[in-house]
Amino acid sequence: MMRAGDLAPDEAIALRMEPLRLALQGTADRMQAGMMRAAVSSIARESGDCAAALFLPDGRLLAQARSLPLLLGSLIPAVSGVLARFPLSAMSEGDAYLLNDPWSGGTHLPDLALVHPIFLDGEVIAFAAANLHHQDVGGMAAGSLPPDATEIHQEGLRLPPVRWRSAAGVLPDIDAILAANSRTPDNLRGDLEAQWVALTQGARELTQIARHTGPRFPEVCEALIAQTERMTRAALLAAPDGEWSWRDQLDGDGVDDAPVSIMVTLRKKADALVVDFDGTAPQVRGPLNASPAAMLSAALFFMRTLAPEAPNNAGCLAPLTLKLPPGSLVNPTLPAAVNARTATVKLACNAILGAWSQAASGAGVAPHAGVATVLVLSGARTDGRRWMFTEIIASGAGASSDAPGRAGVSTDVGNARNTPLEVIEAEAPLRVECYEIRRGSGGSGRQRGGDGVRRVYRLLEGQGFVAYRGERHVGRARGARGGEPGANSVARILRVDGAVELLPARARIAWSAGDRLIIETAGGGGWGPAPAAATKPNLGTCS
Amino acid sequence: MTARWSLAVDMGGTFVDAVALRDDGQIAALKCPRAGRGLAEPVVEAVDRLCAQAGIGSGDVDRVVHGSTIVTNLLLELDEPPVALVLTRGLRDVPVLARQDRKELYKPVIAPAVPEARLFPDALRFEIGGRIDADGREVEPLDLAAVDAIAEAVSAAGVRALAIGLLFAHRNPAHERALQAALTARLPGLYISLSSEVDPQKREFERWLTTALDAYAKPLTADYLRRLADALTERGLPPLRMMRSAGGTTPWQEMAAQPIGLAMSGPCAALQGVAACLGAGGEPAISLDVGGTSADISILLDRQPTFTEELECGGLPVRQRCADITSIAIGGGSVIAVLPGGALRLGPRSQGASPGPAAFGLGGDLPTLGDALCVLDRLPPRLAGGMALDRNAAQAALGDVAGALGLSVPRTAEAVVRAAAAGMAEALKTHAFQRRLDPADAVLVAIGGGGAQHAAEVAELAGMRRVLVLPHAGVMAALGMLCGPDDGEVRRTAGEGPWGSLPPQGEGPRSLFAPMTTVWVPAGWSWRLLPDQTLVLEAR
Repeated sequence: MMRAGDLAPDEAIALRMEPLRLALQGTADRMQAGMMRAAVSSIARESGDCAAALFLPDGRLLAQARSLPLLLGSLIPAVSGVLARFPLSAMSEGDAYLLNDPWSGGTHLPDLALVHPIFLDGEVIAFAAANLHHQDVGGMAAGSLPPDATEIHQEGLRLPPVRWRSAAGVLPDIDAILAANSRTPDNLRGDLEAQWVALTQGARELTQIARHTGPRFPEVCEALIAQTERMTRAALLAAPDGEWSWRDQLDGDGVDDAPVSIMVTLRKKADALVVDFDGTAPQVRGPLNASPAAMLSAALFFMRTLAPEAPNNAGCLAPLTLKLPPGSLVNPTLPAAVNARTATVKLACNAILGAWSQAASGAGVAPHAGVATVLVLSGARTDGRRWMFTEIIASGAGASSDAPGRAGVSTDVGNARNTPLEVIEAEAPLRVECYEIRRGSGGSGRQRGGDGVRRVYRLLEGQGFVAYRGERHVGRARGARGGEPGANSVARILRVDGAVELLPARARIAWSAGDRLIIETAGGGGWGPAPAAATKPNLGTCS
Repeated sequence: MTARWSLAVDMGGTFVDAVALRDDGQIAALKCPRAGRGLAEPVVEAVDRLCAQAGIGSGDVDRVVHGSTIVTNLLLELDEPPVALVLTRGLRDVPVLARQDRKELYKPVIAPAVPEARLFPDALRFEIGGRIDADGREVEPLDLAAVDAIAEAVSAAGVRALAIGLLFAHRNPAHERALQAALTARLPGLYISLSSEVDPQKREFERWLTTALDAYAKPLTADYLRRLADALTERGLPPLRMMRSAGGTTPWQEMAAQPIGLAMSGPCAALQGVAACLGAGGEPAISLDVGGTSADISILLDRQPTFTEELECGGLPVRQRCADITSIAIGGGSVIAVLPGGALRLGPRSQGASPGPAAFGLGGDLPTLGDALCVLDRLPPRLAGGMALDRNAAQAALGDVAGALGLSVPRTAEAVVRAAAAGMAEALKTHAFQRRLDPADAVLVAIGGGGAQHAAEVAELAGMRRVLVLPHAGVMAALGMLCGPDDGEVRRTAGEGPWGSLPPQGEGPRSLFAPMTTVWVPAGWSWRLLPDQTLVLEAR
């Protein structure tokens, strides 16, 4: 491939680069905003579980919205999946293609990716792409995220790349199949239309940008990708050559309780990097397997952190070779279940950060706790009215060489917000008695890992269920360069009669009025050896 | 009968602008650099100078209105002493944990959501028992027995201001008020802000942080407004009124009591001014206000400013009703950088007006957007306030950037100015589309010292074909303070005209220099001057 440093300076291109970078970034962000505004399901509209990006005709990333990294990276294999099935010459104006199959560039089945060719003067000049977590695509459980799934066919409708739309509109055959396979067909159709809003906004703006940039538009795009590659390679070059491994583990696979090992080795030479997951556990029975598309999100996230100021395009991937052993947790073969891949992607991402922290450049961070606890509380009031809410509770960030880790923050590929207590108490018969920093839970070190948080809920009336999906009840976020690991996650129910019940990493348990649920999330890893006096953690409690 | 005057002074980050409006519509205005002096002094000085210049006696003045960037600035700089917080038991970390998300997705080191140590460090965050529920009912009485210990600790720490944030206080403020009374009885000199007064809406993090920031701004703002009001009273001028971020004016004492309501007073005033100056015609307008440190973008519908309930100040979310403005860190003082790898970037770092661009000759030697404009001869030899520009210094400052980009200095300047326009155009498009307005359906209104400098290029990138440069664009915020919703139809006469000897029409490319604003008419654009002294730029 052409190396960026060889590019001759060219005034006409140089003058257009920064305006084009800003325009592409703005367009991708507006695609995202338009999709969220138009979305029907709250998971996309409120939580932003969707992503948008622009691609070149050969499938290379041109720009992505500043949204969820978990989904952003996976659009790259989705576009490749479409291109493998539909050559450019077979595409027409007004087309859009759809897929969710993890073996054709998808992540898990609820994430439907749409890809739309953008034409200018009869030629495809780019693609607009968007994916969105849909509320239901069938399978054995409402919501298409069955926690006990052991094969993909239990998880919902599997779609290899298919044409979803032509200039005449949505193809009736595919629309009928989609609608028949969802428990909430109106939401599915509405959210696909929201994705289409993003794609048409992107197409309209990009054609305008291309016209404005002039006939050298493709060259300016190439120059931006080369610039990113140059900036990423420069960051790699500044680090020493070497090989660093990092091992971490999931508490279980969702079906079986045995820890599942994640192993990554980074091999850095000059300005190139191999990220190799050799040594990772074989694929598992439960739904925690991660498809290559899902794993690319972790790899892309890491590569973007090397030069975060660079334009966010394919250039940052040029120095990377990603190795995902076939048949493993991170590249499972059919018919592995994959719906709960988020925990795997997050820990894999933190394993990369952990391995990189050993490189002596000093710019790294210790692994984040990387736990995004998903809590679904539901129940019935004494008058029989039912209630339910879902929230995501963050954990501690890893320390870096010159700063402690932040407490209670969404890290790596996620960025979920918390739920305000005044919203919770208005919607559910709960009193949130405590939301505080779990002091002392971050790993000790020269710089301390970020603390997890403590949330305490008291059920005020009736009966209810706690559905809890945590992580790091067994494993811990290791420290870097001699720093200590962060504390484990702990969850327990304090019964009104004084009995205490510890919850495992995945639990569904009943509770009654007066019972209290106490959730304490894990701390991030510390950086460097702790000063002698500071090693004793003081795990305060909220009475 | 003698003429009656209204005075307005806008203190921005870079300049102090003063406008006097006579009851017959006559306008006098001046603009002077703020240049790092105290807070009240430059305002008083601007009033004195303007009165002297226009021959206004203190007895001729009916009102004095002031808008100020003080709150925004002190939240950017965070040099004030921290404040104490008293929050509901179990929740004293809520203002630190924020909403648990992070701003920069890909920065390996995650920045704190809130600069805790500078605003309200751990030792100054207190808790108190007592609960109000979601319906506003008391479910646990306020633990007043705890107040003594809190008051002692607050007193020992020597803090001057404190914020109270209790859960569901927006539904029932009884606990917050009881706590305020108990604290005031013990510490009479303490400034106290209540979340139930500053921002009575649900979602505790946003309400409590807004209240904490109000308390943080209070000691300095109250001192400054009192000194300013006293100085004006000494001169025999009428009582000082303040411009609010939510539009309209209020006695200064109210803003001293709740300074967070000042956060966007200047930008809001500018929009009021635009609204008053726009001629008839129903088309939507988008305003572009470019100053020394930032560019503000906002929409006017039916000749009225648009409002929002949330803003950002110094990167912190503030929940207050205010003019709906997107502000980006691009202004004349924005510093140009070339990242390793040859990527050109403009801002967010700014030299403001002091030291300002290298061309100002005030000791700034970093290359800025202003220097790029100077090199391209898009600025006059002398700026408003009489400052002479040093073109050689501008050229020298751009040298390193040019070297890093491998371009000539003029080409570099061109690249910088294009990047500035692109940054503004993208912010404009995002602002408009998010509010369901296609920029192509709107006219662009340029205000601020630099708005007209970039407006036509921004319009072109955003698909807009027409730009209005309003007379007095350079002092629009000060003028707008006299054009509030309660002021009725404001008469303005252009007098001898703000444009001096400008030809009434012509074709770009051409720079047009007026006393308080400079206009760039790019190639492919023409200009014409309307009878009301509005300058219209149109794409061919």
